[in-house]
Amino acid sequence: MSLMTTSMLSVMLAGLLSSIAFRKVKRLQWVVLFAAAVFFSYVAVSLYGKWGLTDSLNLGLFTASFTNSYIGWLFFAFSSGVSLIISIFSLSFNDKKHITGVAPLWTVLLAANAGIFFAADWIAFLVAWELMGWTSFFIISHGKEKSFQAGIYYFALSLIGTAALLAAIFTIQGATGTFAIAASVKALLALWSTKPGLLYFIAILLTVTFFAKSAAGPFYMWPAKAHAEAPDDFSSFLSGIMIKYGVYGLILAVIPMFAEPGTAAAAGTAGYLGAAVHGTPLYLYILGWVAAFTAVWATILAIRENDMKRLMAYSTVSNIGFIILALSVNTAFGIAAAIFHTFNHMIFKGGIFLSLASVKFRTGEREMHKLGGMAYRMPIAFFAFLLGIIAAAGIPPMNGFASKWMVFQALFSHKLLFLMIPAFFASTASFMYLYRGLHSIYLGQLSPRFAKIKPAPPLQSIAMILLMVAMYVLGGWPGFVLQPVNSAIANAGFGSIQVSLGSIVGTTTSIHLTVVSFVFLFSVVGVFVLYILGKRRSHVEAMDTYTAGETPEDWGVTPEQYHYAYRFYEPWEKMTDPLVDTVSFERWFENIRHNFARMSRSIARWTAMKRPATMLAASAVVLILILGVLL
Amino acid sequence: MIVLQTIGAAALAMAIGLLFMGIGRIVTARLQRRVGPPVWQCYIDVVKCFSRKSTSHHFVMDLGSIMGLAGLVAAAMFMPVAGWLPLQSTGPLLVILYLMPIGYLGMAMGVSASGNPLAAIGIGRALTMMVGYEVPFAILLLGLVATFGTSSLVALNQLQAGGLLAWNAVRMPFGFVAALIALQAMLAEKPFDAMIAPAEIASGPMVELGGKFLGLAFLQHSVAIFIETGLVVNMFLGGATSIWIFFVKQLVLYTIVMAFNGIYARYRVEQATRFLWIFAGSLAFVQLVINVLK
Amino acid sequence: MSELLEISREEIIDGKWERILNFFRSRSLWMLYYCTGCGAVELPPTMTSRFDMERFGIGPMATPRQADILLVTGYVSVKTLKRIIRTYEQMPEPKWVVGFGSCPIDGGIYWNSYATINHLEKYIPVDLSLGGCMPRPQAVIDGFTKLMKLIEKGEAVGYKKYRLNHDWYKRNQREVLERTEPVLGPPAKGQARAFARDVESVELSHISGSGGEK
Repeated sequence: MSLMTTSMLSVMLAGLLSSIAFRKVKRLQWVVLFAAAVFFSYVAVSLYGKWGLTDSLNLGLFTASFTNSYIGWLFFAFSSGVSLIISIFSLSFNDKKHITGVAPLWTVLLAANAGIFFAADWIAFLVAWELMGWTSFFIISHGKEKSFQAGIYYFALSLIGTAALLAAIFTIQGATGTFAIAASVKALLALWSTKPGLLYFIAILLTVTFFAKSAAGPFYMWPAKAHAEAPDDFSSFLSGIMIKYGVYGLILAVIPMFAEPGTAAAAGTAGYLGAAVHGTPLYLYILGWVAAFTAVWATILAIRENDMKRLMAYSTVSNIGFIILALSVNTAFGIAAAIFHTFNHMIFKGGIFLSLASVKFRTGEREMHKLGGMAYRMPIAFFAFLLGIIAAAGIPPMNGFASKWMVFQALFSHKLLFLMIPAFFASTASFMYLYRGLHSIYLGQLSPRFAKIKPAPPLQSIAMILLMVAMYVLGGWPGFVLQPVNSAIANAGFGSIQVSLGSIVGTTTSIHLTVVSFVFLFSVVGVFVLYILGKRRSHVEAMDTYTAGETPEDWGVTPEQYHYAYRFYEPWEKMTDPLVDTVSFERWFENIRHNFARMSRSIARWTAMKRPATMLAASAVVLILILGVLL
Repeated sequence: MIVLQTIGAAALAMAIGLLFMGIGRIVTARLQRRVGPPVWQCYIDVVKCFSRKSTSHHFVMDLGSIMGLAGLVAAAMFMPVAGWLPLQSTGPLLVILYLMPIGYLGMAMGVSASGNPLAAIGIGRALTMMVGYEVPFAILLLGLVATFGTSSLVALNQLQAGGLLAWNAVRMPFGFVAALIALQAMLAEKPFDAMIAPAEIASGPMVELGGKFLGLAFLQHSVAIFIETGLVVNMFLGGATSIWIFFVKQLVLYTIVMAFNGIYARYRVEQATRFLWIFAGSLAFVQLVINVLK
Repeated sequence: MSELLEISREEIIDGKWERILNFFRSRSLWMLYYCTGCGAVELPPTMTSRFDMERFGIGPMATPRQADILLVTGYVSVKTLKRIIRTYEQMPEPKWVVGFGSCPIDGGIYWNSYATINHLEKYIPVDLSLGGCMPRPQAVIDGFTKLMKLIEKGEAVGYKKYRLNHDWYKRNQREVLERTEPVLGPPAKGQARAFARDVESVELSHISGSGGEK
């Protein structure tokens, strides 16, 4: 037993114990969570460089084994670091008024997080995956009816994923005779010449699992529900870290299945032999289109959203689209771009959600048109959001630009040009919803209701400042992450890319991001000098604006009414109304749910179960499992 | 030396942009059978703006205005002018396309902080329009990558060397027309000026800007003119061998834009976006298909 | 209370450095026209091809924040005075007011109306008055060139007078504005809300489009 398993087990135990021991003093549970995050960060540091370290855990029937792979470590290290920052935030967020009892579960979830990234065989992966699914379901629900509805929704979709994962695992085991992830993927690669159908079947099952988790493709709608209804600080974890498990899964199992002949990943086998489009396997090319449309669709929906957490949840889905788009290119550059964008997204979306949580902490409002002018009262939250959206829009000098640029370059490398049109659309249209958030929440008119609110508490500010620094540093010096990522993908056999601390060599051109960062900084300084040269400016009140000579107060217009935020993009909504009305996967799933409910109601008559639909879905999973074993 | 070069380049971009604005005003005036202002009118306007006192609603407004101009100036640093660059780079097109939005974001942030709903409406329209013109422009970029395999402006310049027939405007006529339409929208001239619309939303984003804030906005627009016309010159008109020829080409483009500005009425924003997608978008798409097939 | 201060010309005239800037200020005049009366009809011909005001760098602007000149084109009713004052105070300095036509000078043909004020310069400082009912475009351009000269010499200092005699102007303004108060007092809080709801249903452009048309 090494540090890997002991740390996981001890944190899990700590979580369970804290739920019993500190039932009366909930704040201590949050301290336990913080300690767990610190501990995991320490584990991440001490495991650096020990690649290939293995460990196993006897679970009676099976043995779950773990390994410290470079890519897994990177994901683990990053998620631990961001978890640490979020847990600092949570310490302050869960005061007397806002406290929730989810900390023990969250602690267990941190252990599951480590388990997923360290899993060396499918059993360990499945156990960690399930643990993650259950704990996150309970955290999302957190004892509120509305949240429970969202949680059930999330859980039902997770069940689809789990069912597919189970089926995939048993099919893989049947085809290759091993549960070890790396070995089984290698063994599958050798089957391209004999059983391509089986491989496609496995790829589809795994894709469904990971897409369901990452909310890609037809599963785009759960984050909008789950992220919005989850506890505010947990939304940051959900959107920052949890949604990336699917990406990790794709990198772990699906992408290597399509390793090109001649690459290190395909060493010892013939590699992928099927059809290809522009040198990209057909299956991944289709995934690329699904991802591109995920990005576009989520963007269109985000622009229409008035609830700030739902808006940002859709933004997350759109970014997942970008990540999978980069993965689908199936080159070293694409995978590096995807991993880099994943980490960047962890940082900036973490920052954005923490900022939103701060605003909700102070105001209790979630609908954007009821807010406004928060920047004047909560400057640090405002800057966290501002830098976050600059990064999310992929604008220099923040970190989002570097990775978005890499995504585009990855697509250039295989000349997937038509795939880039939706990508560009999503990228440009993202300015719309990001600006909407900035304006409606932080700028515009400050409502008199919130005239006296205080800035974010110190611990929350510290968490946000840490993320801001990370955003800026990675924007100018991407090598801090890209160089390890480069080694990691080389280690995993995907090949390598050309990066240095400040520059990246792309397909069509290369950029030096440190230069871009400094040019912008110096431009700001230069323009500031110009600004100082101009005549003095004086401050006026927010309501003293151009109103064609009218005094708004005479008309009974309050600052709230004067704040333009509701239906912000009305022309756009008019344009996209027909599209949004006709296409709705949500309705499709709703129909399925409806039929399920009808069936389950008849079952519910015999048994007195609560939530029969979920139970039915769960039994369906068992059924599929049995079928899988039989096959 | 590099510092001097960059400051010089920034000043040059502003000076050229303001000169073009003055010429554009004369073009409009001539189209309306007027004499028009002197050619240096815009310089006077900017100096005057900086010489006036101004009002700010919040420090975010100051910050936004500064960020607005700084983003555009930073983008100008990567734009090769007849092959000359203030900083060593390849003229990466994607960097320019993504540095300009930080200017617009800064501007948007600044005017949002003014608290005037008309400003927010204007920005909302501008961003909707942005989706309209950025998509065709991006497709054009893809078309160039399809043919040449590079998105560096310096390389594109070199690839078009050798006379009129080597220009992309001749080799890719559909793309060039799409670029012209997109340019019209990028510069927010009629019929794509719904975001400014003085009679409707009181000049939109600029509604609360006075004094030096307006001066900074003016300079921002001048740099935007310089970059955007420069982009099209570099992408389609073969760059240039000397900076004077480069400026002349830019001026020709800007004159065309202002000529259309003088004779068209204003589209509503959803009409404009749809127009840009349908016409500019499909022209660019046709060009992309041709380039990919070739 | 306060009387109109006696200020010598030398006291408020612009200094040397300011005079250099005044050169630029005088050659780039952006106007905001407050179209209260019939005067606005003379402005289109002044701006368009026949007379072309833009030759002198004079052009229309949409909002008071951007404008240098406030053009009060016609009679000023007691109700519009309030809007004019708000607009004037929103303009950043230096700023100038041009009274356009006879009405702002002495009430013109409305001199004995219960609803108009007769002397605009009692309420805001007027730098230049253009007589006539209405002044023709030639007269307008003549007036503007005169204003340009005044500005360049630093003699158009109405905004400084306003600052120095703030109390005096405010007192005059109050006298008129009290007349615009509703007879039954200001609306009760609930009433104001109901009114605002009505306003909401009307499009925003209706409210904001009344001034600064281009």
